[in-house]
Amino acid sequence: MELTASERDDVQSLERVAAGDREALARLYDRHAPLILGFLIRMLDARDQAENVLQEAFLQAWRDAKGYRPQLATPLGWLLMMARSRALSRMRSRAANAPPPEHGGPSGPPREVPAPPAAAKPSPEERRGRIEGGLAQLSADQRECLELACFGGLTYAQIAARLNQPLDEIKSRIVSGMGRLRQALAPYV
Amino acid sequence: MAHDPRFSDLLPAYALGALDGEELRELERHLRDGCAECGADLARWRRQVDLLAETVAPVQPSSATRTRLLVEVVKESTAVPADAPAPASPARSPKAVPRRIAPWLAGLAAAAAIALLIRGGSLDAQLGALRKQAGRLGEEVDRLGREGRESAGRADRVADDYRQAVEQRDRAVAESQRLQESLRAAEARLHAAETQLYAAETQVHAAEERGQQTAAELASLRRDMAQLSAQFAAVQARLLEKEDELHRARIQVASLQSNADRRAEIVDFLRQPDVYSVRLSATADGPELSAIAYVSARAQGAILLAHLPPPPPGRDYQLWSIADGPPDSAGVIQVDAEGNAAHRVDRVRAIGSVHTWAVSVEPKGGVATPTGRIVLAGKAG
Repeated sequence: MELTASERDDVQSLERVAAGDREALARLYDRHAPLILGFLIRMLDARDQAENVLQEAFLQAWRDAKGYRPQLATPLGWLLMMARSRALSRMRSRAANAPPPEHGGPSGPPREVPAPPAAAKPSPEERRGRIEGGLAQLSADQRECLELACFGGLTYAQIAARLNQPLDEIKSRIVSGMGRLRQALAPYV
Repeated sequence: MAHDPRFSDLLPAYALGALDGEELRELERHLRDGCAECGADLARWRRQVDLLAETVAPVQPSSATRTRLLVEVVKESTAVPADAPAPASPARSPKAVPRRIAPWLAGLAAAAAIALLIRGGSLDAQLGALRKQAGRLGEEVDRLGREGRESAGRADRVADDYRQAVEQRDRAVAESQRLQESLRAAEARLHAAETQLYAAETQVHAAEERGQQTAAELASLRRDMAQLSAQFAAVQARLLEKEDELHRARIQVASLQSNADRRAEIVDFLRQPDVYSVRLSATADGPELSAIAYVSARAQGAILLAHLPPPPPGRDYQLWSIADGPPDSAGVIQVDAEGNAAHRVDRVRAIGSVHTWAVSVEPKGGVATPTGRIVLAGKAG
């Protein structure tokens, strides 16, 4: 897998974190925490819980940095995965105590691009715009399924139940949606 | 491990975290078994998912989260007490910092370490900073001790002020109660006065009513009196009228009486046995008059009955008897309102020889010898 320059930089930081470099962790945090927090807020729909999970995710990264493999994921992807799995377990325990949130994966709220934070460089903005463009090429059904899975943390079966569709239909939407996305985003990957 | 194509379709869902149940377990086993193709494919799928995730709007976390994270990280890496080998130069073992770090100092150390982590620096610098922090903290403690004593003094003064304030409050409460009692007493007096006022007003009202009644009675009495006065006046007027009538009646009676007396007199004269009448008639240049004289020698007189018009102003009728010689006056004749005269003559001279009787108009009061016109004459005969 080819890595961008900033991704290679991230890989180096993660290796230093594995060696116990606190400042390297701080660097990774400063670079990626805003996106991860946005992602977590999207999933959990609660700012304070999202910040807690953010903190836990990075703490886990601190502990498990030795287990990171660059071939399997980018550092951001790896961090996102940890954040996501912690968020999912929170959502499950929340669902155990209370009814699931209305938009566990927000297919409702508009995907507008907000004002960029002061620290953002121009290219992430452009990048996000391009990714949005790629997503626009998916059908509404495909996009919905991907969002429910990615942000809502729902499984096949849960998505099928939520949308009142047969399981096979959902599976095929996910596969075809991801395929289409891969095609659309190929230039940017 | 050989690649199994049926897992390829599951990889996108796995990357999304949408896989569960039996499929999930089998795929994970397959991946653990080290399928290289699936591993590479999965990495690419994960990238897609990352890109999907990147469409999210970034949100700046609060600085508290960063601090908490770094505190936890420092705690996890400085969990060992200070007797672990850390400083680079053992000769400069810090006297100020005790061998066993107190908990609060450990927390302080964590905070300081984080501060340095943020600012960067070597471990020596970290320890130096820590020592400085401890010194500053000691000064802080002294300062707090001084402030504590000052505060105690202020607290005493505040307690005094408080006691005074409580006393003032108690006095104010007592005063307020007194005022309330005065107020209640005043209200009671006001109420009594109002009751009296009401009673007085009731009396005034009753008196006014009586006054009005009396005035009405007075007016009625005045009207009655006015009526009575009017009646009295009327009665008086009638009384006066009656008195006039009476007076006129008396005059009439007197007149009638006089007439009656006169008649009686004339009748008595006429009863004389030797009475004879002499008719007088108007003379040639006199009006149509007539009279009659009754003469009685025995009575030595005569009565003349005549109807005459009133004499001219300033004149009287006079009667003359003529015997032998010039006429003798037989008196002025009184004529009444109806023109009737009944004139009596007593002591006619030589009555037995009187042959003519005459009436003339003379100056008022009569004269000794006739000067005026003779209006009536008659011979005895």
